[in-house]
Amino acid sequence: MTTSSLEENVGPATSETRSTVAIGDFSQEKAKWTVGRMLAHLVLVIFAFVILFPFYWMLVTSVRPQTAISTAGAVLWPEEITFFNYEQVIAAHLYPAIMNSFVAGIVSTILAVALGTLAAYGLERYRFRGREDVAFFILSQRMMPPIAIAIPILLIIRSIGLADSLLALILLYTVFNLPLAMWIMRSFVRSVPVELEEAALVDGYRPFTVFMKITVPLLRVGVAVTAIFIFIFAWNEFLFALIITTHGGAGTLPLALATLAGSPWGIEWGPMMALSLIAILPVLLLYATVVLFLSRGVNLGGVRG
Amino acid sequence: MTASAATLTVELRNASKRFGKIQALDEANLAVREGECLVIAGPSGAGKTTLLRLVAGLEKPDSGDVVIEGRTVNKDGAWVRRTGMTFENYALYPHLTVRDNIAFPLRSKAARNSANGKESEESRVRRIAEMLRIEELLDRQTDQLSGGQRQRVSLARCLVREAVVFLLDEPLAHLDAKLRLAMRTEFKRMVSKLNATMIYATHDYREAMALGDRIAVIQEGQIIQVDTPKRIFDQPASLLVARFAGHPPINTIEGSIEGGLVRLSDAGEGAVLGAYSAADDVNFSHGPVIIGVRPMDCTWDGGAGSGLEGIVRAVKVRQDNTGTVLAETGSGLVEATLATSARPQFGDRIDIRIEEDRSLIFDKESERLLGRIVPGASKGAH
Amino acid sequence: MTTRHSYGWIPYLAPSLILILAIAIWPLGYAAWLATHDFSPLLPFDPPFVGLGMFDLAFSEPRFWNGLRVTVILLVGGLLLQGSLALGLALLLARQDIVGRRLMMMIAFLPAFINPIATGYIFRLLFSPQGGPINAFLSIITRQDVSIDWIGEPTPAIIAVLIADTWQWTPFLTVIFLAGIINLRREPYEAARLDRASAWQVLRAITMPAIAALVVVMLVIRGIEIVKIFDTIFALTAGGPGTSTETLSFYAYQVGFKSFELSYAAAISWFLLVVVVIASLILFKTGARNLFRI
Repeated sequence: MTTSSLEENVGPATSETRSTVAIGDFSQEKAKWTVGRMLAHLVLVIFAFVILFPFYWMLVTSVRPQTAISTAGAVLWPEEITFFNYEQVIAAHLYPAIMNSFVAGIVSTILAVALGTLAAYGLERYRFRGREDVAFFILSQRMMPPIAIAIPILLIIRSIGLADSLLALILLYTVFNLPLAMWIMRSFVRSVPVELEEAALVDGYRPFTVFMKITVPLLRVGVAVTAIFIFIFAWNEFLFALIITTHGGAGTLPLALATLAGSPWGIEWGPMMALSLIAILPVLLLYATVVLFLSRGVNLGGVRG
Repeated sequence: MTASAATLTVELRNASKRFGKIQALDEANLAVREGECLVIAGPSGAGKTTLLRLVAGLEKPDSGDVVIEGRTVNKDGAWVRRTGMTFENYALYPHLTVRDNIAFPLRSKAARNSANGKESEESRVRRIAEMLRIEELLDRQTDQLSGGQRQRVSLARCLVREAVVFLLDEPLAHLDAKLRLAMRTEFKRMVSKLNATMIYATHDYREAMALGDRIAVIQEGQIIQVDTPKRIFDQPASLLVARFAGHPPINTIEGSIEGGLVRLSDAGEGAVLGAYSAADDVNFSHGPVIIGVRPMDCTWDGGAGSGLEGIVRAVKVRQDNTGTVLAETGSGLVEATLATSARPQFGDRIDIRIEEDRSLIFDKESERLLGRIVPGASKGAH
Repeated sequence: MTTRHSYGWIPYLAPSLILILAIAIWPLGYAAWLATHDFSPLLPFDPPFVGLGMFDLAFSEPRFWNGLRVTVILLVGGLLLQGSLALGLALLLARQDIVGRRLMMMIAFLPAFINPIATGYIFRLLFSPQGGPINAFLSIITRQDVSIDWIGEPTPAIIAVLIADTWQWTPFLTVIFLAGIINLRREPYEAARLDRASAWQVLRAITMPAIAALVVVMLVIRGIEIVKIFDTIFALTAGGPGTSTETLSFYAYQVGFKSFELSYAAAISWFLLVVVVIASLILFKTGARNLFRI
């Protein structure tokens, strides 16, 4: 893998400022601030602004008292800051919706990572006919429109009495995230040298024990990365939560959000945005963790989407 | 190659292994005696590693058998066979300390089952660590070790266990020259102390000669000769083996056998070196041959030689004032020892003297050993 | 390379395969059965076989074609918009003289992880006719009083969905493309520099062909996601006004879970599935599998 650390200013020379030094040993201070360069940065600033503005708006709206929102309309800065929206929303939805999302997220993540790692190991370390076909088969599950199996799933779940149950949701999330887990773990498994496993075999350990004692401990990083991605996807999932569960039963946070929006009195944006922010919060926290982790020298080139 | 009455710990019987287009092992036959250190010697890619892996159980033979202690173990997984192996890149477990690395083989279910309780794990680990002089490293992490230290930990992990045979894959390959030499002597000492059966793979002939009770020379998947170091040197079965065992490498000179006499091909009127004495089972009686003479058996003393003429291309003098001269002859470059304090100049014509009874005769086509020269037949014109 | 026993892989892959077969494949088969039988929850016993009858019904239903139309609009518009924006921004970010590239990449990854439902509602707020920031912004730019009813009018609604989806995914695409560009081999650029090629020539002859494969793969993946789009529409427009933002996916949902015409909905879903499967097969066959095996 190329080690293009984001620390250096690497990258092909598409710049018009040819007064710069040769590729690779570029120093930012030496470059001239031409019009082109300034425009480029302007565009990027706008880009960043566009990305961040909705978050800002959400934040502002969530700390305004609902009365102010309804009467005064939209403002750029809240007239007064209150956390009442949050109190209200958390009290109403912490249990069961938020808890359900947590449980479903964590359990399905553990299952998906475990099964995905096993599958990745089986695919990487064993050669058999049709190996890549099996890999593609598993991967192709991700391509399936959920709506295609939504109806039969509902019928099946109803008939086996698992309607509106967290268990059903967990199973579904596991299956849908398995391919991703397998895909990510595969390249991590590949990075564990086979010699280590061979040494362990000669040392008297059976293949599965070798997997558990040698390979798995060395996959810590991969497991962490995979788990974070999968948790985020499970946490954000909506369609199956909508179809299979009910709000107040096994419903998850996104469902609570939708229910709140569907209230007959029209949308109260204050609480809505508060709940939205709560919905986003774990994701942001996990993301921050990943970023901090990445900034310790692991380069982005190895984490392709 | 008949096995003696000694017990055979490991045998390969017509073992073959192919990887894609490459035939790594081609009907290899080998017998390793109990308690001996058998060195598998050959260039890179010859099949040494494949052979070791076949014995260890990391590969299964395509055809033929792998036999350990009299039992055919083709189907046995590596974890069942009681072998120990070192890997060329050491394969130390990065998430374990040195102590845990070394103790690892002792903690497998197989080892714990067969443990006879005579010696505790801790004392075994300590003993082997002391033998390899790494006791102070026991609590370190593997990424804190130097190359030489890693190599010794890898050896310790291999030797700590109760094994039927130890398989060592170029253990000294990645060490610098000085360390390698030091380790080689230490290793010899250790081998005799351990009294274990060992198969040791290397491409370094000096290592092979120094460490092996017997040497098996392998090339392109085939085992060419298995013999003691002395016989490998004195009676190489082929030019390849002769070239391998000896530094500087053996000189190869064009010659021919006519009328029972061995002559040099491009020495003017065809200087005769002596009578041809064929080895057992050799049917060759006349035709073109390759005469192999080691540089230490070729001399130049400033005067006439055996009729091998060449133009001086290089002169190498060592610190102790001995030296060799490299001359271009009709058969290519020949290296000869300087037997005089005189030094030839670049471009001089010299006549090299060959020690006839130290020469070997090889078939020009197959490069097999045909026989030797018996000196004393009339020299000069026929 | 260890040649492990030929069947050793089974215990490692079995649990995953069994789970997938049970929870994903079997229901799919069930859905196929549904799509070819006239199943009604009111008369669940012994539904008659209608073969492709459901599909005929679908093809003659104008709402189906509307759904297809909306899906295609979103697909084409979305890919064009997101593809060109992401590529352009990536090229911009790849410039050597950019300050704060790393910060930019960190910010850019954010929207992709946000709940699409939350995104939908946030943008609904942003698009508010009265006092919504977007209208306010447009008012400032055009110096008129802009109060477009984004959610309530057909054309603005589709645009709104497009914008929301673009906001959510373009930054992510940008980062992916950027990573691809950065990892390109240096030599062709140095050669071009020696040949005194202009920036535009460099772009066309060197950069574009090199990342073409990555771009195509990512766009196909994105395209498949757009065809599956659901959450964003549910939150932002609920398919409305009327059916003007009702994609096929949403239509299937409405028909299946609001009107309970299960067989019909199953047929539509299967149609969608076939389209997606064909696209993935194309993706696989065009050797893009190398990218998958990262």
